[in-house]
Amino acid sequence: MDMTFETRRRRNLFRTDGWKRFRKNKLALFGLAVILLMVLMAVFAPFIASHDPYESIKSQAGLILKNKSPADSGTLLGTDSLGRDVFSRVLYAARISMSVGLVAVGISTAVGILLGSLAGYFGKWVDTVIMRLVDVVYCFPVLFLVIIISTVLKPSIYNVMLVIGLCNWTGTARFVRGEILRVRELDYVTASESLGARDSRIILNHILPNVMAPILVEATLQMAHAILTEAALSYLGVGVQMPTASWGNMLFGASNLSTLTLRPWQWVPPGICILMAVLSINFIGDGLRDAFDARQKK
Amino acid sequence: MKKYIRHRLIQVIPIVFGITILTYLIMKLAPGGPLANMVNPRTSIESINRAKEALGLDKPILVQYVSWMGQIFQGNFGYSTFSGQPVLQMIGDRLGATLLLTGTAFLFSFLVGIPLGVYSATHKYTPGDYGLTIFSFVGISIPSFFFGMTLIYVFAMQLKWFPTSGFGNTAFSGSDLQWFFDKLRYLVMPALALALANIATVMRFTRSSMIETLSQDYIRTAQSKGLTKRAVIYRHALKNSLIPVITIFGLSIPTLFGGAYIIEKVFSWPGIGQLGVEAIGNRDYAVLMGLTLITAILVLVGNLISDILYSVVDPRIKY
Repeated sequence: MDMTFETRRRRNLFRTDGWKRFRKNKLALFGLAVILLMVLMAVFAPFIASHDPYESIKSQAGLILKNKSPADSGTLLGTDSLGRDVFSRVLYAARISMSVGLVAVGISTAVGILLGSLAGYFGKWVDTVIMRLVDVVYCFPVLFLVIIISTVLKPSIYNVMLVIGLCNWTGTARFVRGEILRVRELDYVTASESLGARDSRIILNHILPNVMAPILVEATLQMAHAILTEAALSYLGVGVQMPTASWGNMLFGASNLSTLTLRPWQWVPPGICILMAVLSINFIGDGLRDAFDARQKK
Repeated sequence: MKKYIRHRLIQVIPIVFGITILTYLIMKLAPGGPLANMVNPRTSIESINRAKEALGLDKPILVQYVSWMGQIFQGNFGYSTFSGQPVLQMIGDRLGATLLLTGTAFLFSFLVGIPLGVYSATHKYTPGDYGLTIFSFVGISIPSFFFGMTLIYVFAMQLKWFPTSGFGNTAFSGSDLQWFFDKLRYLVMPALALALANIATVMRFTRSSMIETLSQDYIRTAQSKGLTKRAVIYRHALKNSLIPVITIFGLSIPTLFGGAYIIEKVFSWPGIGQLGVEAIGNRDYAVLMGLTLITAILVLVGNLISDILYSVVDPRIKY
């Protein structure tokens, strides 16, 4: 009993070789720091925000402070066209944009793993059907498919998560299938088969743990993609709907030329937030790839 | 190779059917169906049913799909539920502008991406390489519309180098060359905004492929023959390291067409992307359906060409 407990005990993450390799990648560390900061800001938004993100700010005379620059309104990042505080909205939008990204990637990774392992493990007609489906879905540009389906469905934050998740699984599926084809020929899988293990046990206990690391890398990079997709959808007005703030729909509000030229404080901060979040996640994904791949020499 | 091409062409047939089925199903998801925009609350149930019958909407879904497919094969993509124009004609009118935009972005990606990648690989671990690596990360991370808006703000509004948006004056008077340069001024910013992510991808791909090629034995042979660094890089290494870059030909087609939706909105570029955004606003399902189908077919053809090209360029690949 004690022995199994010993071997199963979690290793200290910060002492593993993987962490050492990750730590060498300065960009990945930078990304990790930025994302942690952003997550903290999103979680503690109610304590950090100086104003209610959904209420217009009024001057002492009772006038709504519409479209005021930071200097004029006395707020950190100015106000938007309805007089709401841009800084507070950016904070609350972080919650929406990041959770959309996380849930969407959860869905796409789950679907990708499921279909990819079915195709790779069972082969034959199962493989043919699933891979043809992948080919078909692949022909629709993801962004385009997401836009069309979101238009057809009623736009809401849950539909955005679902649609992005359900349109983004082809890459993971292809990849998992390839990995499974590779791993299933290895001796330990044959050994397990000859011991009479069921298919589900072989897939879940023997094959998937061995392909988990690259799947995690893929999922990280997908998350960056999902945040970008949500932003694009909301920018087109078919994503997260007003008055809920997401980084994308804050830019939607600024898509006319006069806002673009005269009131950069309304669109630059959310734009930079998207850029920084996506950039950091991409850095982390790259660092993870290096960390997991022990063979690679840098 | 011929066998591979034939095999690949046969594969296209079920995919085309899959595309039409998926397109049809997506449009069937629409609440209320195609009639939703035609009726107002005062329309009687009877006349709605009559309209459904006239449009064949009372038949089973399979029958509807087959008759719809029949129409598609005759080149009838239906009529816009908003303007009443034939969908195919509306798309045809706008397709040229989109092909011009995506084509230019496509050229940008490779003409800029490949040299940057080669520089990065041959100057591995120098400040220049690190700079370009960070640039490529920013390139794939920046939302295209935000980059486009920034371009407009800086280069059109502040510096006034380029027009903010649009496609240029249709009644432009002047020589062909002047016309060309006039169009070019409108094209530069949207094409750059659309291409940026692709430039970054091509660059990273070229870099890693080039680094791998440069470690091969025949490169060492070339070096030990006393060839100049230039000759080794451009005559021996470049050609082989560009082969994997061909896969990006295929990969970039869906990215560019999808991206065109966003970029055409930012720059008011009169292509199918803008048509699509208008159709989204009007909930014009007939137009969206036509666009979905045409885009998917374009992507399919693009992928086919890049796959075949790959098998032609790299004789080592056996299928």
